[in-house]
This record gives sequence, structure tokens and C-alpha cells, in this order.
Amino acid sequence: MAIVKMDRLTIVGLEKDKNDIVEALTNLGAFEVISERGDDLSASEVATTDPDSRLAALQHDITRLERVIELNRTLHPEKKALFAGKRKVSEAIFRQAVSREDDLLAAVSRIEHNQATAAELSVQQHRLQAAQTMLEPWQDLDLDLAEEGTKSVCLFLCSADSADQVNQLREALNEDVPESFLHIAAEDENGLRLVVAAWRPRASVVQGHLRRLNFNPLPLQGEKGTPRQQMDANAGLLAANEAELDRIQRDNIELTRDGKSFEILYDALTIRYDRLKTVSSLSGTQKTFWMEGWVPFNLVAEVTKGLERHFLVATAHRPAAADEEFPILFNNRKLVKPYEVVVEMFGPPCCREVDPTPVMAPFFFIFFGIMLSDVGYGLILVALCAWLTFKVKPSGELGRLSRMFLLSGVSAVTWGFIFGGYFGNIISVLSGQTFDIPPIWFNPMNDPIQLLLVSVVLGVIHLFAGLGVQAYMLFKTNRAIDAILDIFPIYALIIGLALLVLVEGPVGMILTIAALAVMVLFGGRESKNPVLRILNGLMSIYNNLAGYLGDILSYTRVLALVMATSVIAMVFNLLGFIGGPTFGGILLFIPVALIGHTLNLSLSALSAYVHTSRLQYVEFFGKFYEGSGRIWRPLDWKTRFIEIGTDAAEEEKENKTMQSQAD
Amino acid sequence: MIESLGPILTILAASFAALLAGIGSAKGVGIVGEVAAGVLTEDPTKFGKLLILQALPGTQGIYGLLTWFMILFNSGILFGDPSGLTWQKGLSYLMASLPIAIVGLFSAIYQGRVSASGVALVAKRPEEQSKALVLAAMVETYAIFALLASVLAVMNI
Repeated sequence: MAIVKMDRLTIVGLEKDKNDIVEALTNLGAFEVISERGDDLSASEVATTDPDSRLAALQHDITRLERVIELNRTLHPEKKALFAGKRKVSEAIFRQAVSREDDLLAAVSRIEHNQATAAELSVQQHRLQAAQTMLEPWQDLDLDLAEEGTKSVCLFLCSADSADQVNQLREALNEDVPESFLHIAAEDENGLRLVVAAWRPRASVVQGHLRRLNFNPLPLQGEKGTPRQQMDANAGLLAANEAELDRIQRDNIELTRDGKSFEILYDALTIRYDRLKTVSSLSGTQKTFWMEGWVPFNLVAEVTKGLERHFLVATAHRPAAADEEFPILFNNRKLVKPYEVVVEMFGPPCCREVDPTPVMAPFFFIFFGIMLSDVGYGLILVALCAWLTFKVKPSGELGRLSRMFLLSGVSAVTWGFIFGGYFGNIISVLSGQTFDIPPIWFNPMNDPIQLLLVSVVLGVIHLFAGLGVQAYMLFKTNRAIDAILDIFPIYALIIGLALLVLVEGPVGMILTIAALAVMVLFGGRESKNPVLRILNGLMSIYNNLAGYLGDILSYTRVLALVMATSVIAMVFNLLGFIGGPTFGGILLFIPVALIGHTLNLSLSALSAYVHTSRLQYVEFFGKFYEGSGRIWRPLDWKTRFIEIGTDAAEEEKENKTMQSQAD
Repeated sequence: MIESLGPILTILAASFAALLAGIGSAKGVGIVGEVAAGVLTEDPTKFGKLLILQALPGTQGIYGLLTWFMILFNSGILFGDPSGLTWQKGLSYLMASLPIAIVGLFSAIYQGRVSASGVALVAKRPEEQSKALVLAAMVETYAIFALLASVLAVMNI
């Protein structure tokens, strides 16, 4: 249906043109390389398969740039708009940034050097600060710490927590080493610092006592200068380091002032990396190379013509063979297109399957709308997604989802009118139950059973559509018998049972019996044995009945979600309006309603999305769809930060230069 | 005593729904949050995607609150006149609240566990988030059925 057929295009060209041809194909964006080596190579594999390890070098530069870009973010904090997409950069600016590659990489090296120095310096700073705290209590000691004593006397510098400790030491020393000398250098709330002098041969005894009584030796003993002098020297060093760190910081800020260029270069190198990877994966001879790829059949002529005009190449193409898997490119109408993302998330169709998007899209639209069904919530969703789609224009998944929800939000508004939901019942609450906009059809809160019926009927239509696609595919693959014997009886059975319940008369009974008869007789037609065949037929009745009953009941979730949305909205309205229609009451109502409805909208929209998807994926796709395909990924500029915009004039110029080169 | 039994049973019914389903959701959301926080230490940019997964087991609590509201509203305790509430009616409300209370409690916890595994899925392959969502939503189906069972019963008492 809506899958583009692919042609397998083979290109043989000259080795010297290889780079340019790959670049030209990337520009066209219509060629997916069929890699002989299977999937993408990992970075480590690339490094080993690339003799020059040019790829590895590029990868290295890319990682370095990434680090600088990250640093730049912290140095130049910039308020980034919510959902901001890639920056648009003109071709000229792109080229200018790329031409400064050497300068930029030199800057990167300098920043790296700076960072390394800064790291070293900050380690030093920590060490110096620690020394300062250690020295501070000793600052009044007028003694060179390098002084170890005289030839026969040695000195111990240590600190104690309490005077008691010192007294114990004094006693011990008096007893064992009476010739020793103990001097209290300083005493304050942090403890005591003392100097002990002892006759050298007896030093070990003194040291033993000091250790026993838990005195802390000053680790800096041995360093040159008095504590005061050392502290002054350290302070000088600290200040110098601080200044140096400051200079580095300023230098880094200066170097990254042009931070955008790093991002551009990052993307440029990524593009180069991708191209090199493609080029190095191609095989060939010394003078020629050879590549194969998938091209949409309608673009093949254009691609080959374009290549042949600019390069000396030989090309050949053929449609995909019947047993050949080709990647998927969707081709759907504008209103259906946004829903491709839903199918893609399940898994794109394989090339022999039908694209389910056109059948699924209307149901997604309806079910999402009915589940949210509120004019207020729908309008907010539409406004938000319209802002995203038309103003912010995010690329990738977010952009596609916002287009999908923009469309689905319209459905929610429509169903809101149908069920009379305006932020729940805000109109009736604010007007004091005097005024309300009546629903176009009915209010689900007053008549939940009717909504239950509506959901079940919609569900049956949905299931029938799924079965219809299955039947269509069976007919297409010349298995009409299967369609008639397996699928039509299910239609007949469900319709027959519905008629039996709802309408008087024999029609329902006849349909039901006929359907059951076909199932019993033909449900097990694979087995030759007649008894087994009938038994299998009976089993198929049970399977069908149980399966479809479950499927149909699953659609009752629509009712539950509608009620959840509107009841929670009602609760917030009532809660907010507790103060009544007074000034204070309105003052209370505004924040409660704002917070409450925001919360309810986000949760309800999420529920509606998730459960609509589930109905599509499980109940609907389960009937006919496998989704084992792969999306077509042509050679393309894969960028992370920027989007290269080409204005028409420049493109023209480039084409001319390309042509003149070719001539 | 017997006259006040009706309102007491009704409030018990409503509280039951909000209470058990609420506990379940708190637990489910908690389980996902723990795992998600771990993933965020590695990659804070996934916050949005993981928050959505964390929100999923929270719906049971909402269904419980919804049932609480429906019971109090329908019985007249919230805005009307609860004088006609016999103990038989109160007991009926209690019975009607059982599905969402009990199924809500357990399904939220199990859904939390599925979502937590979904967090691991998104951590490795962020583009597969919708599959994680749908897997978790499979569990929620039964909470939805329980909600329907409770609410439809409440509306007809």
C-alpha cells in the first residue's frame, strides 16, 4: 500500500572519486549502503580494520571536542529554550568554522593543557591548605622546624588534647628521663602544643612515652623555617596558585568564547567520520571501488543520472527480488503521515507486509480523542503541539510526536463538544449550576452504559477492520479459501450474536449457527483425520469466542478513561470553588484549577496515548500485523548540534563549481 | 447506632478504595522512582522519558480517588442528604469498592515492577520507550476493568 518499493543500485567507480561519490550520495540522501560486513562497526572494530587508524584519530578528536563543549556549557551558561532543536547554521558559517579546524583543535589542546594544570594546581592548593591548618596552632613558636636539636639533644614537637595528658607525661619523664625538658609552647581551647627536649641516647624512651600517651607529633617537623615563616610562604604560594587558576579560568573562558564553532566542528568531524567509515567499508581493486545500496525506485533514475554527470561511474539497478528484504520507506498522505511514528514504534512493516498506517490512523484519531474528550484539554494540547510543530520545530521523535498529538488533540476537542466536557464541568461550577453547555450527543457521566456500548461498537469496528486487512492480505497471496473459511465466520458470528441480543427475529440465530457450523467443519481442516478435524473445529470455536470476547471487552477501557478524565476534573473544580463565587473564592479557585487541570491533563493525555497505542498494538495489529521490517536509513548528514541550512544562491554556486570540476 | 451504620459503612467503602489503591500506586511509583534515579545518575537527560514511566503506576491511585468521589457523591455524603443511607446500602457500597481497592493495590505494584524494568529498557535504548509504556499498560488493563466494575456498581446502588 504505502511502502515505497526499493531498487538495488550497484555503483562501480574510480578509487580516486570514492570520497566525492560518497559525499555526493550523502548530499542526495537517497542511498542506503548495503554493508557486506553486516551491521555498523563498533569503534574498536573500526580502529582495527582501518590501517591508518584515521578513523580512530577522528574519533579521538571528536571526544576531545565533546569535552570542550561540555566545559563551554559550564563556563558560558546559556539559557536553553525548552525543547530547543538543533541550531540552524548557514553553509557559509559552517565552512568558515571548518576552515579554522587547526586553530580550533589548537585551542582544544590549550584548554586540555589548562585543565591538566588546573587539576594539578588544585591538588597543590589542597595540600597547602592542609599544611596551613596544621601550622596555625603553632604559629607563635619561634623555632625553625628544620631544627632537630643539637648534637646531643633532640627536639619533639607535638600536641595534646588536655592538660591532664601533659601532666602524665611530665610525671613519666621525671621518673624515667629526668634530664629531659618540657616546654608548653601554646595553650588554648584546641589543646596544648609542647616542645620536649631530650638527651639523644634517651630519645627513644621519650618517644615511647609520647606515643603511649597519645601525643600527636607535628608532621611538618623537618620542614624549613619557623611555623610563622612557613605559613607566610604557604600563603604566598596559595595566592600565586589562586592567581594562576584564575588566569586559567579566564583563559578557558576566552578560548571557549567562540563555543559555537566547537559545536560546528564537532558535527563536521562526525560527518567526516561517518563518510570515512562508509568509504573504508567499500571493497574494490587498486583503481576502482564497488558499492551497493537501496534506492527508492522512483529516485533511481535521478541518482544514477546525477552520478554519471559528475563522475566516471558504471551503474546498474534492479528491483528487489521476491525473497529479498529491503528497508522500509513510508509514503502516506499528509493527514496519515503523523501516525507513522506510532507504527514505527511498534516496528515498521517488513517489505512484504501492508503498511498499516492508513487503516490505523483514523482509529488512533478517534480513540485518543474519545479517551481525552475535553474541549479545554484538547485545545491546550493542540496549542502546545502547534507551538512545538510550527515555532520550535524540534527534529526527531519529539517533532513527529508533536505533529501526531496536534492532530489527535483536534479529535479530543471534537469529542469534548460531543460529550460536553469543558475542563470537566467548569462552566456549570463557575456559573453556580445555572448555566451549562449541553453535550451534542450525551454526557457520559449521566449515561455511562451508553458510552460502554459506544466503546464496544467502536471496538468491534476496529477489530473488523483488522480482520479485513488480514483477509485482504490472504486474498492477495492467493489464499482466498483461508479468508473465506477463517475470517468471514468471525464476522458472521459477532454480527449474529449482536443481532441475537439486540434485534428480534431469526436473522441473528441463522448467522450465528451458520458461522459456528463453518467453524466446526472447517476450523480444523489441516488435519486429515475426520474426528480430529471436528475436534479441532470445536476448539477453534472456543478459541475464537474467548479471544474475541476478551478483545471486545478490552475496549471498555474507553469508558473508564473518559470517566477518569472528567471525574478528576470535576473534583478539582469542586475543590477549587469551595469558597464560592466571592472574591476570595475566585482567588482560591485560580491556583487550584491551574495546578489540578495541568496535572489531570498531563496524566489523562498520557493515559489516552498509552491505551490507544495498546488497543492498536495488541487488539488491532494482533490480527494481521507483524512489524518485522527495518526503516530505510540513507547516507545522511548526522549532526548533533547544528542543522546546516543551504540558501538557494549558495547551492547554485556550489553546483556550478561541482560541474566545472566534473568538466 | 444502626442509623449511623449506613454512612459509616459508606465512608469505609470510599476510604477503602482511595486507601488501598493509593498505597498500591505509592508503592508502584516508588519502585520505578528508585530505578529511574539510578539511571539518571548516568544520564540526566533521560529525565522526561523516565518521568512518564514513573507516572504510569500512579493511575491506580487516581482510580481509587475517583471511586472515593463517586461513592461519596452518589450516596449523598458529599453534598446531599445522607439520611436515606441504610446499613444495607452502606454494605453494598463496601462490596462495590472491593474490585478497585484490591485490584488497584496489587496491579499498581506489579505495574511498578514492569515499569521499573521498562526504565532499564529506556536506559539502554531510549527510542524504545513506547514499548516499555505499552508493556506497563498491559497490567493496567485489569485496574481499568476493576474500576469499571466498582464504578458501574456504585452508580446503580
